[in-house]
Amino acid sequence: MHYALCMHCHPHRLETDNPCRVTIHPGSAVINGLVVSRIELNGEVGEGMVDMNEDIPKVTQPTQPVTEALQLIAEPGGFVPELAMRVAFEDGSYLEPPTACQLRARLLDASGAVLRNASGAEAEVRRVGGQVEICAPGEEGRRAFLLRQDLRAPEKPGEYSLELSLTFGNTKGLPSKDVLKDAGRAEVTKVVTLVVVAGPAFQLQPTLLLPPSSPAIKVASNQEVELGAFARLVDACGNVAKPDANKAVKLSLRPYAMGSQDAPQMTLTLAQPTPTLHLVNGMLAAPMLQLAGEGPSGRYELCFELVADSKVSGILLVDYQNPADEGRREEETRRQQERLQARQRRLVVAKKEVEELGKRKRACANAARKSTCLYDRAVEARGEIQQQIQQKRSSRDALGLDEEGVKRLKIAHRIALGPVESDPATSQQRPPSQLGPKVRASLKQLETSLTVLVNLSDGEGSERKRRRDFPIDLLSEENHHVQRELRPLPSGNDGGSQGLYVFKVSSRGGNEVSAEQLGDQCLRDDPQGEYLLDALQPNGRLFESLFESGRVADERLSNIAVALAAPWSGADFVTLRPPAAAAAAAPTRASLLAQLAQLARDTTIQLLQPASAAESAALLQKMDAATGLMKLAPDGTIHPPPAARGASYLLNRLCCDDAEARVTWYRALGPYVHAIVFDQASAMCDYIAHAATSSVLIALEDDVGLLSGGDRRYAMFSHGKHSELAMPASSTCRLAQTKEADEVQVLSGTAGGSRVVEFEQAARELSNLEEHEQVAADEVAAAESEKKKAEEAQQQIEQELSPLQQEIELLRQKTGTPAGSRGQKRAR
Amino acid sequence: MTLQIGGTVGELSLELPPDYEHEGLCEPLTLTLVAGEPTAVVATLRDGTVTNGGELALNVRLVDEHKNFVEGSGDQGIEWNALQAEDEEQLLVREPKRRALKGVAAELRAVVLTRQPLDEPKEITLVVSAQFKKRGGILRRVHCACTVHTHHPYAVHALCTMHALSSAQARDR
Repeated sequence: MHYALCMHCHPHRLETDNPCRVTIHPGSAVINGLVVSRIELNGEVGEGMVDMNEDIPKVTQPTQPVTEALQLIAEPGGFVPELAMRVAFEDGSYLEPPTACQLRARLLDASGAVLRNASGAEAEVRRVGGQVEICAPGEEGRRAFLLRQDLRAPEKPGEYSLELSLTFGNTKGLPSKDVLKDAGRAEVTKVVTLVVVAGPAFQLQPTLLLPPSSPAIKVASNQEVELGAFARLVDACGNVAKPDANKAVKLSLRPYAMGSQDAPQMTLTLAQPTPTLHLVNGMLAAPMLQLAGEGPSGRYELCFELVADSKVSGILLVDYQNPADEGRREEETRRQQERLQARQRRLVVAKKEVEELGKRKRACANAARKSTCLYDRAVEARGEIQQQIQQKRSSRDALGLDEEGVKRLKIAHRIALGPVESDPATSQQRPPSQLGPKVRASLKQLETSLTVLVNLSDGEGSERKRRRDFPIDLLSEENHHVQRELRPLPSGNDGGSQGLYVFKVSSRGGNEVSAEQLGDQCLRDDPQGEYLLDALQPNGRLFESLFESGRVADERLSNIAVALAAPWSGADFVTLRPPAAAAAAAPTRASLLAQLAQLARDTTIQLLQPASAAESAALLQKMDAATGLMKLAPDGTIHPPPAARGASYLLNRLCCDDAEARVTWYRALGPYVHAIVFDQASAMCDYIAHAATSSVLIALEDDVGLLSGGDRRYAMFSHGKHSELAMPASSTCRLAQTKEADEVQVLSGTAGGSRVVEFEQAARELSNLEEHEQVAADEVAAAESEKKKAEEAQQQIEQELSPLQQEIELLRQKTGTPAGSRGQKRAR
Repeated sequence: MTLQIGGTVGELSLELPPDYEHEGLCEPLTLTLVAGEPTAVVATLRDGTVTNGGELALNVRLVDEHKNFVEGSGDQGIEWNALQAEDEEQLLVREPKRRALKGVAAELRAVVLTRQPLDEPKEITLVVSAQFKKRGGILRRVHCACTVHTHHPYAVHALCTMHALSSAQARDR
C-alpha cells in the first residue's frame, strides 16, 4: 500500500541549517593599546604651533608616531623626550579624556630591571599626570597623556626600554573592573625602545692611573719617563666617543697655573712625544715623556687639545725636578726642619701649659659651681625665712595691737606694773619668812603624836599610820582572820592615859579567838588634833601656802590681806581650809584655833569659814563676767579704772581667783575687800586727788612721808582719811608670785587678753625669725663674695687660656700636626 | 494497519493513491503532528552584532529530534544553564546575576570580552545547555545541539550547531 504524506505548513520548525555563530566585533569599549607620538613642546617646530597659554598645551604639529627606537644622545641631565600617549579602543577610537585611567612610565635596562639614577632613585613616574591636546592638521583634536621631561635619560650608551603601562578601574563606558581583571585586560602595556648613543666629543680625558696624593708624573732633569696611552676622547658624560677619522692633537707644556714659580728664564720644552699626535680609536698614546732644556723645579702641565676643536682638551700634571735646585732646596729643607722642630717643641710646651690651665680651670669651675650652689641655697633659705616673717608679721598685724596696746591691756589685767610702780625685785630682798619652818616643826610633832609606827609585813619597813587607817588586815593564818586593831587597854592597866594601843586580833567565823597587844605605842584619842592635821596637811601632803586658793602678783600683797583681816580677827595667820564637812563630831572653831596656836606659838591663826550658798550667789552677782573683778561702786565701776594712774592691785581679784575663795575672802576682809593697792604712796595721793573713791587705798611704800614713824606699817586712805595699817607681826605668807602661765591664764580669760597672748607669741617668733634672717643674710653675703671670687678666677684663667689655644692652633697648622688628635680621641 | 509517522510538526493529510480501486470507500484523513521530547537546543542572536566588551543576547529554544520547536507552557522542569565559552582561555563570559531561567524558550544574556586584544571580528564558540526532569521524576539534562565533550553522563553541553545526539548516545558517553 502506498501513502502520501503532505506537509502543509511548519511554522514551528527551525528553518536554517546554519549553526549559531557568534561573531565578536572590535568594540569602542575595550582599550586596545597606547598610541605613542613624539611631540615638540618647546619653541616653534616647522609649521606646527604650540599653544602653551591654556591649562592643557595644544600641539598642532603633525604627529610622529613612535614606530622605531627613540634615539637619544648621552648628555648630562638629559631627559626622555616629550611623548604624547593616546589611549586607543579596539575600533580605533580614543578614550577622552585619558585621565580616567592611570599611566605609569619607567625605564628598564636590558635585563628588565628598573634603572636607578646616581642617588639610587628609580627612573619611574608612577602616575603620569600631564595632558596635551593633539590637533594634527586634518585630524580631530584629541587629548593625550603627556610625558614631559619627567624621566631622566640614562647617560651610558646602550639600548633601554621605556615601559608605559596603563591601568584602568571602574570607568564609565568600560566593562566593569572585575570583568577586565578576570579577562586579564585591566592593564595595557606598551614598550618603547630607547637607544642612547655617545654624544659629541667633549674632552680628552687623562687615563693614567696616578695616586691621588701626587697626581703628577715625576720627571727628573731630562730623563725619559714611560707614558703609553694617556688620554681618550669622551663625550660630556664620560662615554668613549669614537671619532670618524684620526684626529690630530696638539701637545704643549707650560707651568702649572697654580704654581708659584713663574720663572722668566724657563727654556723647558717637550722633547717627547712630538707636539702633534693622532688619536687612534679615540685614544691618545705615546711611548715616552721627555723634557728638554731647563727650568725651575716645580709643577707643570702637559696640555693636549684637538687641532680641529681647541675646546676639546685635557691636561696631565708633571712634577719637574731641576738638579741645579738641589743644594738650594736642601738648605731650605734644613731650615724648614729646624723651624718645624722649634715649633714642635713650643707646641709640646704650650700643650702642657694648656693642660695645666685646663686643670686649674676645671678646679675653678668646680669651685664656682659649688659656691653658686651654696649661694643659691642661702638665697633660698633667706627667701623662706623672709616669707615666714612676712606671714608672721601679717598675722601679728591682723591682731591690731602694738607694744603700747599690749602694755595697756596687761596693766588692765594687772599683770604688768604701771609706770610708777616700783621694781618688784626689791621685795625679793626681804628676809624669808620664819613662820613656815616653825609651823612645819609643830606639824611634825602633831603628826608624831597622832600616828603609830606599824610593821606591815615581814621584811618590809615600818610605816606611820593614823587612827583612821585602822583596822589593818594581816595575812591570814589557817582559817583565822587576822587584823590589827586599836583598842584601849583592859581597865586599870593604862594608868589613866585614855590612850589606844595596837592589838593583833585573830578571829574565826566572826568570833574573836585571841587579842594580843603589839608593843606599847599609844595613840591619843584626839579628834581636834586629827582635824587640824587634816586642815594643815590637805590631801595628805604638807601645805604650801595659807592662801591655797588665791594667786597674787606680788608677795607683799599677802601681808596686806592678813593685815586687813587682822583688826577684827586679831589673826596674823589665816588659813582658808575649812573643816571637813563630813566630820560628824566636828571640833569647835575655838578649840581648833587653840590647837593651832599651840603649834605656832606667838601667832594668831584664823580659820576662815566658807560662805553659805545663798551668800555666795549674792556676792557672785557682784562680779564682772569679763574681768572677774568685783564691782565696787554703786554705779558698777570696776577698779582699777584706766584713769587711776599708779593703781596697782585690787585685792579681791589678787587674792582670789576661784569664786569660792573670793567669796570667803570677801567676807573675811569685810569693808577692806575693795582696797586698791599702790606701790607708792605718791601714786595713791595722786589717785586721791584725781578720783573720788569709796575704796580703801593702801600704799606699799611711803615715799612722801605720810607715816609719822616706824616702818612696819602701810599708809592707808579710807573713809576720806589718811590712816595707817600695821603689818602682820611676821611675814606670814609664802604665796608665790604670779608666774607666766598664770598670766596667760588671766589674759586668756578675755578677748583682748587672748589677743595679747597671741601677739606676744607672734612677736617672740618674729624676733626669732628675724635673728635667723640676719644669720641667713650674712650667709648669703658670704656665699656671694665667694661666688664672685671663683668667677673672677675662672675669667682670669679663660683670658690666659684663649691666646695660648690660638697659638697652639697656629703651631699645629705650621707643623702639620693633626688638629687635636688626642683631644678627639678623648672626645669619642 | 499501523503507521509510524515522524518529521516536521504540522497537519498531515493521509491520502490513498488515486488509482486505488476502493477509493470511493475511503475517507481522507488529516493528522496533526506535534513535537516530541526535546533533544537539542537552537540559539539565535537577538541583535545582529556583538561588540567586544558588550552584551550578547541569545534566544534559545528546545527542539526535538526532528528539529521541531518543543511546545509547552509552564516550566515543565526545564532550567537553562549559564552561557559558557567553549574555550575560556579565549573568551570571558560574565552573566548578570539572575534567577534561573525556565521554560522551553529563553533569552540568555552575558557580557563577552576576549582575553586578547581584538583587532578584527572573530568567531568564538559558546556553549548553551539546559536540563529538565523526565516523566517519573528521573532527572535528565537537555541535549542540545552539540558535538563536544560531556563532563557528566547527564549533562550534555551543546554547541550551537545542529548536530543532534540521542539521549541514549549521550548517556553512553
